[in-house]
Amino acid sequence: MELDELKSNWENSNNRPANQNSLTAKMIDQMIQTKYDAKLNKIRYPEIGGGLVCAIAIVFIACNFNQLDTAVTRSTGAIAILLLILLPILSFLSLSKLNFESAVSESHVQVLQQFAIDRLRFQRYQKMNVTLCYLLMVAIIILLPKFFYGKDLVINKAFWTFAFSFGYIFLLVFSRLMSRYYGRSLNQAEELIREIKETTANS
Amino acid sequence: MEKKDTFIKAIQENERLIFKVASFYTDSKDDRDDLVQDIIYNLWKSFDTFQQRSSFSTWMYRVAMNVAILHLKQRKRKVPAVPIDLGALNFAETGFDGNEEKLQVLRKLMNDLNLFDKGILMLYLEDKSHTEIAEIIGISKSNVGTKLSRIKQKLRQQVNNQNQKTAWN
Repeated sequence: MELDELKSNWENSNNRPANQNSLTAKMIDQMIQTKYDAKLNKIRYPEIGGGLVCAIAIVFIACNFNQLDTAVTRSTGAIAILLLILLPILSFLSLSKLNFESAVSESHVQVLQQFAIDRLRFQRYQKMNVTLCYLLMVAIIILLPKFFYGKDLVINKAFWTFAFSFGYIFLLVFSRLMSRYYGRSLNQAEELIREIKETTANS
Repeated sequence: MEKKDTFIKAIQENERLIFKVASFYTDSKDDRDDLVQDIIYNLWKSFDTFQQRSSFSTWMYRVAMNVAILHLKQRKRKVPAVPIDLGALNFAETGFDGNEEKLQVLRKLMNDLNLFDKGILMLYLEDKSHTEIAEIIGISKSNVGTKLSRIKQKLRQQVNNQNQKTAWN
């Protein structure tokens, strides 16, 4: 199919309003007003929810910190608190975005470039987030039995054998899935930036 | 009130443009309706920035395409759209009269292009001149020509690949 053939297909396409002026003044007015209200109500519920869960977990670990009586469990507890502080911060950072209102009047190529840069940044934050989540999971596996049953699993050889083999397999499978999931998207964003740079450099 | 009336009149005169852009960048009816509302809202918000250095439709294309890109970014995190029944517009579903197969081919070809090429292709399909495309996209006129010939090559390559796959099957 040649571009001209594509063009004639597009021209013959049916994707247009059947009636001209089908958007009434009332509808346009309603769209402006209600979209404005929706924007005002736009709260990042998932991030706030995640942040709250992390805050509760920090309070719980801090309140029960005296139960951690060995150097290993105390260090693990401190690392867990640090990770629980870092994770919501990374989550909010990954969502910080270009100013929507000011971006819409820019040239399309500028918005595309910013879009690709933001996408790359988001993916990198996501990767970092997943790695930290994995570390947090390991820390929690070590801490939970201590908190709930008062047992120190770190001295249990069977636990370590199980935790290391299970952890290794999990990490291997998980990292493969991650690189497959993010790899293509990252390549597309990088290619887009490269292409825009090449084109604008020739202008 | 005069500003709003002027805006509404301008939107009504160019509504086809908004629906075309929204259809081009979305796959489902719900998403398209949401994008139409987003475009109109953002056109209204930035109406004061229209400086009449270009035609109103050129400015509208630029804003609409930019909103479509930003919409893609926010799509998964959207606040539910305004409950306006755009079905009442009697807006025909995207499609080719009696030729679904051609629509599928066109959609597939366009989906394989990156957003940069996709934007240029859409304006070309809309019969925009190289000067207008350059103005909307923000690249030089000569670059538009170069990009279009590369897009042609890409499409040709895709069609060849498709034909080869069909032959093997």
